[in-house]
Parts: sequence; C-alpha cells; structure tokens
Amino acid sequence: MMVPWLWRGLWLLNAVVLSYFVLLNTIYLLTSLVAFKSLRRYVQRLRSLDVDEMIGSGAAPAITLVVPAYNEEATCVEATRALLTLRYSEYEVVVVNDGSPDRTLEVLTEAFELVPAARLPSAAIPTARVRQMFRSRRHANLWVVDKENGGKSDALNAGLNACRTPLFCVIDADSILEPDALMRVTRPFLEDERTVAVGGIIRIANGSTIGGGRVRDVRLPHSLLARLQVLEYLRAFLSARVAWAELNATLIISGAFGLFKRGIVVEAGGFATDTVGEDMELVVRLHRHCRERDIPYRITFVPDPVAWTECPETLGALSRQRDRWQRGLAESLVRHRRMLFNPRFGAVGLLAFPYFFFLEMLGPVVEIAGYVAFAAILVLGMWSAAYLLAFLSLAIFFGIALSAAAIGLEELTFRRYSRWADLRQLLWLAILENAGYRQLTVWWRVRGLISTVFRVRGWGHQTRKGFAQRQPPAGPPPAAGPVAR
Amino acid sequence: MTVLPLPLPFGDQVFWLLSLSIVLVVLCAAGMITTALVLRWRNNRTARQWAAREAIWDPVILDVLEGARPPEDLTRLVRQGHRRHFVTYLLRYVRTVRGGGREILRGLARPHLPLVAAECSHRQAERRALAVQILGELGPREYREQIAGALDDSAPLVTVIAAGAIARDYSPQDVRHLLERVGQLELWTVRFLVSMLQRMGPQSAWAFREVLDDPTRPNRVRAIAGHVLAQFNDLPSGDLAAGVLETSRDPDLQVAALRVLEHVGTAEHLGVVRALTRDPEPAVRGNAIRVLAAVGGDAEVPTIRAALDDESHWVAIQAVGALKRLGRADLLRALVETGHRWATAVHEVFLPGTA
Repeated sequence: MMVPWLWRGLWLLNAVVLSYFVLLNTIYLLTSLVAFKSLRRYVQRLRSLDVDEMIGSGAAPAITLVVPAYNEEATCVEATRALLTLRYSEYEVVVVNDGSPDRTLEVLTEAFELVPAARLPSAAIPTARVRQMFRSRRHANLWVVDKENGGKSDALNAGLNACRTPLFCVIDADSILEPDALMRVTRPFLEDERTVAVGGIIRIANGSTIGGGRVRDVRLPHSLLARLQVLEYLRAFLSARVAWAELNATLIISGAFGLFKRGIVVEAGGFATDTVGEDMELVVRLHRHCRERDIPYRITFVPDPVAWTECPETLGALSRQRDRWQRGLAESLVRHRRMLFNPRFGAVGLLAFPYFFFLEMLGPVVEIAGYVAFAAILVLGMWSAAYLLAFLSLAIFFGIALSAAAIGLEELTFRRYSRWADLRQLLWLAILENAGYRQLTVWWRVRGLISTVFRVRGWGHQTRKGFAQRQPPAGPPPAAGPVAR
Repeated sequence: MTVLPLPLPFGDQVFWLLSLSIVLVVLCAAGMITTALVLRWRNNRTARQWAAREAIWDPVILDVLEGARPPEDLTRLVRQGHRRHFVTYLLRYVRTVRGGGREILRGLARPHLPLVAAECSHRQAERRALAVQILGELGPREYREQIAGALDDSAPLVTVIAAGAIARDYSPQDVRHLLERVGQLELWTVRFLVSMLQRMGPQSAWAFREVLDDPTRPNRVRAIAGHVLAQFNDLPSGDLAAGVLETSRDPDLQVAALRVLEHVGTAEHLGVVRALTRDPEPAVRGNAIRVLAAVGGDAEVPTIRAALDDESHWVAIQAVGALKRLGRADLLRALVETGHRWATAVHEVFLPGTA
C-alpha cells in the first residue's frame, strides 16, 4: 500500500507536468498559426517590392561585416572570399583574429596580401589588446584585426570598435551568406527608421553541395542527427521567430547572422563578455536600453536572408552546443529578470520574457521531472495502460503536428528542399524525433542549466570540418585556450 | 514532451477529455501533413505549368524585343487563363530592359492591365502594393491617376510603391502631391526616400526648391528635399540652403543644407558655414568642415586645423580629409610627427596602407 504523501506528491507533479505540457504545446501551436498568417503576408510583400531596385540604388546604407575568428585556418579564407563577393553596394569586411594559436592570421595574410595599416577606432569598448590592424592589398574593403584572445564577445567588440558604418553585421567565420542576404536583411532598416536590429534565418549546410563559397545544391544532410536539426531549425525560425517578430517581441537574433545599428549597440555598451549567450543578451539589453530611455525602436526577424552553417554531427558536439545555448539563455534571462512581467517592456516583458523564462529556460526541468515521475509510477505499479497510451499518443501527435506545421510553412514560402524525397524525409523525421531525440535535447538543456548554476564558462570544444574541403585542419590540433570554439 | 500517465483518481471524465484531445491533435497533425503535401504538389504543378508556358513565350519575346517579329505573335500565344501569369512574366523583363524595348513590353501588357488595376482596391495592402508596382512598371501613363491615387492609400507600403512609380516616370503634375505625401512616410529612412525621389531627375528640382524654401513644411521633408537637390547639383539651391542655415536649428536640415553647399556653394556662403564649425552637433560640424574644404581655399585652413582638436573622431576625420583636399600634406605630416591624438586618422586618410 502506498504512503499517502508519495501518492499526493506524484499526483501534484503529474498536474504540473500536464499543465506545462498543455501550455507549451498550445503556445507552439499558436506561434505556428501566427507565423502562417505573417509569412503569407510577408511573401506577398516581397512580391510587391523590387528588392534589387530598393537596395541596389543609393539607398543602401554602408555595412561592416564583423567576423570573429578563432582557430579558423581551415575555413577562414574560403569564408572571407565568399563574403567579398556579396551583392551589396557598399560594405567592409572586418575579420577579427581572436588570438588564434593556429595559422588563421598567416593564411589570411597569404591569401589576401594583408599589410599593416592604421584605422581610427570609432568606439572605445574595452577589449583585450589589439596587436595590429591589417588591410588587404587585393581588396580595399577587407580589414583584419589581430588581437589577443578574449573570447567571441571580446572579438565582436574589437570589430565594433573598428566599424564606422551605420550598420554592422555579425556572422560566424564558418557561415556562408547567400549572395543577396545582405540586401535582404537590410530592407527592414529602410522600411522603418526605428529598426535597430534584424536577424536572418540560419539553415543547415551539411549534406548540401558547396562550391566557390556558395551553397549550390540544397540537400538534406546524410547524418540522421543533422537531419533532425534541420527540422528543429525550421520550427525555430519559421514558426517561433516569425511569430515573435510579428508580436514585436523578438528576443533572439542568432550570433551567426544578425544586422545591428552600430550607434545604439555602442551606446548600450557592446557585447557582454561574461556570458556565452552574447547574441541573446545583446538583444535583450537593447530592448531594455531603448525602453528605459524611451527610444523608439524595432527589433525584428526576416526569414528570407539566409546564412548557411555547419551543424554538429556527433552527439558529443551537439550536447555541448545545446548545453551552451541553454547557459546563454539562462544567463541572459536571469541577468535581465527585472523585465519579467514588467509592463514597461510591453510584449517583450509580458509575453516573450515569461515564455522564455518559464517554458524555454525552466521547462526542461519540468520535463525531466515528468520522466522521473513516470519511472516512479511504473515502478510503483500506479500506472494505467489507457492513460499511458493516451498521453503517449497526445505527446507524439502534438510533436508531429508542430513539425509538420513548420514543414508546411517552408512549403508555403521558400521551398529550399525541393525534392519529394526531402519532403518525405522531413515528415518521417517529424515522427522519428519523438523517439529519443527530443528526450536527449531536454537532458542536454537541463545539463546546461546545471552548468549555469555552477557557473561553468567557456564554449566547449568544437571541431570545424570546413566547407571547402570538408576535411580536418591541416595543422596541429587547436590548443585548448580560455575560449575554444 | 511528457508521456506521463496520470494516476487513476483523475476519473473517467478526464480520460474522455484526453481521448477527445487526442482525436483533435491527430486530426491537426494529419491536417498539417496533408497541407504540406498539397502545397508541395500544388507548387510543383504551378512551377511546371509556368515553365512550360514560358518555354513557349521566351523565344518569341526575344524576337519581338529585337524587332524581328511583331508583338502580335506573342499576344496570340497568351491564353485567356494565363493573362495574369503573362503580366508577371513581362514584369520580370521590363525591370531589365530600357528604351524602345520597354515600350514594346508595355504595349504587350496593356490589354491585360485592367485585371491588375482591379486589385488596387484589394483589402490586403500587400496585394494593392503589388498591383501598383505592376501598373507603375507596365502602364505608368495609362494608369497615372490610379497610381497617384495610391499615394493616399492608408498603408505606407502602397504609398511608397506609388511614390517610387511616380518618381520613375516623372510627371510634373504629380510632383507636389508626391512631396506632400513623403512627409507621411515617417518610418522609411531619409536615405531611401532621397534615393527614390532623385530618380525624377533635375527637371523636377523646382519642386524640391519650393519645399526646401518653405518653413511651414516639416524639417524632415525639407531635409529630404535638400539631399535630393545636392544630388542634382542644383545651382539655384545654394542661396536657399544658405538661407536655411541662417534660420533653422534642426541638425538634420542643417546637414542637408550643408550637403547642398558642398556641391553648389560659393564664397558668399562661407560666413554662415564657418559659424557651424562650432555647432554642438558633430554631424553639423563635420559637414561644415567638408563645405569649407570644397568651397573655400587656403583662408579656411586655420578653421579646419582647429577642427583637428575636436572631441569627435568623425569631425577629426573630416578635418584630415579637408586638409588633404586642400593639399596641406605639411600640416598632416606635422601632426603625425608630433604624435597628435588623431595621428591614426591622418595615417588612414592620407597614407592608406601604412601603420
């Protein structure tokens, strides 16, 4: 016979988990619906605008692309070359070598004929020491900042100090921008003078054919783990970010591709160097900065400019990435917790912040508790086959519905995966991901939260294969520095 | 997702509720999957059909544009149900073709444009915008009134597209109306609006002069007019701009007026410009320095030299550029030798590629 307090405890836990489950999935479903409406309008809007004419004219504001690089000797030349061939009238590329112990600086110097050059900083955000500035003899718009290691945020700040255009774009050294991505991501700045930050979509390049710094033929990745991430990215970008942008409550702009107004970011203090989620932290801080000073502003997401990126293909690398993302999320939200339910911050304080705080940050803990209670109930023989089946079905079909909605949104808009086989694969993955993958990601996120509590720092080790050759770096393995990416 | 079974005490009612939810969610999932599949099928079918039609039109349109075949040869190939597609097809070409070719395309589109014009009153702003965009490209003269009317649309997107269409095909009777509406496009950047309006060309300068000279107009609109006039190198605007600088304290308008003077200013305008080198706004000070270098001569060197001690790096860079423009390498070299705080700016502006 079971003790009453244990019975009551499990009952209560069940109720909490059930409420969380219903709330989370209802929100996901609502965001999918909002995204559907928003994307339909967005596609119409794109048809009505001649983006080439709009941006190709003198209207396009000058942009600086800030590319932080740490141990990127395998990818940096190809990636930089691709950046130099973007379709945009006036832009500079500033690669920041963040004290890489490998040959990043040397390969850049050889490939682009870098020579030491003076460049007056436009801001004075504190960073690790800048050793030297270089300018390319081949490309007048290419600069390299060589600095001591200080982490990604520090490198971004060094790039921001060197930037003197009204807008700057942050991209990862291993990302590939589509040729018209800059033109497209700039559009919201022209349409609305209040715009201070815009995020573009990140898509997974694994499995696609890449040549000359371009994604030539879009395919699903070969690895199952990478394919599952394709589906996750579709849900995250086409459903969630579109919907939050529609509600004017964008809290995340991916560090792999985001365009910002330089002045306001400098005014807000640049990127925070004491968090691994510097991208989200900056966006949250910009909201706070503008609201607290009554500065009219807009932070948004546009789904058509694309940055392609390499996603992890091993469980170890993926777990470290998710751990880091969760730490970044938690650090940003805890730091700005005064925005929670604060009407001063509008939809951000009343909707987005509570959603991210309770459902994205703390949600995994509830889920894990649910799994533990599930095990306890099985062990204690309290389970009912009918309920078990009912909840399993509900959870799985909810998951399938949400993933299928994201796939539908992709079909409605950009249709990057054009083969029937790809579509079948994606729909199959929507079912498959419920069998283990979702549970694994929940566990990694819980681990990330635990790391946040114990103040673990650093990026965790990452290995780049490089888009050009897809081979390991030729030189010695990267040394473990204070910040390894 | 949780797969937690509830303990039995929840009772039958909850179970039935749960069952109902499952049915709904299963239907929802099935609906989503079907939607994705149907969308894919429909998109593929449309793409195939469009490709097939365009494969027939492509060789003919090239011959028509070259004058090798009459336009009727192409018109005959367009079936009743394909007219809207044909208009979209012509739109792609008209954006890349100039001169006589463009007129041929407009002639080809003419019989089908009433279809598009009907969409100017669609309830969705995006659909109205697209209709105005098409009319502006393919029927700017026939539908001039409709396009001008779209300037008063409640959606800024439609207004801006109508404004772009009017700016592309300058018609003197619409310019005033257009400039009035520009003031209401508050969210669009000045840079974009200037770029759009300057397409009207110098023949429209009279209208911009009127705006720049009119103190009853919003400063933002006057600033836009100033920037456009600067792009036109419009000589009569010089005196107007100097007048603006004497009367207005709005930094954006001052910068626009200074841009005009940088292009068309004369020595008589320098008095008011010199005073602005001490303005509290760095953008005004920097632009004033640029004007002194562009219009003035050696007499302005002391003022420009003084700007090298400016707190703002941007003003300092303008001053270095100004000294370079006036050929005062000696002064710049002295700055570097004495380790002046803006010596880096000198290196960058004057001696690129050195550190």
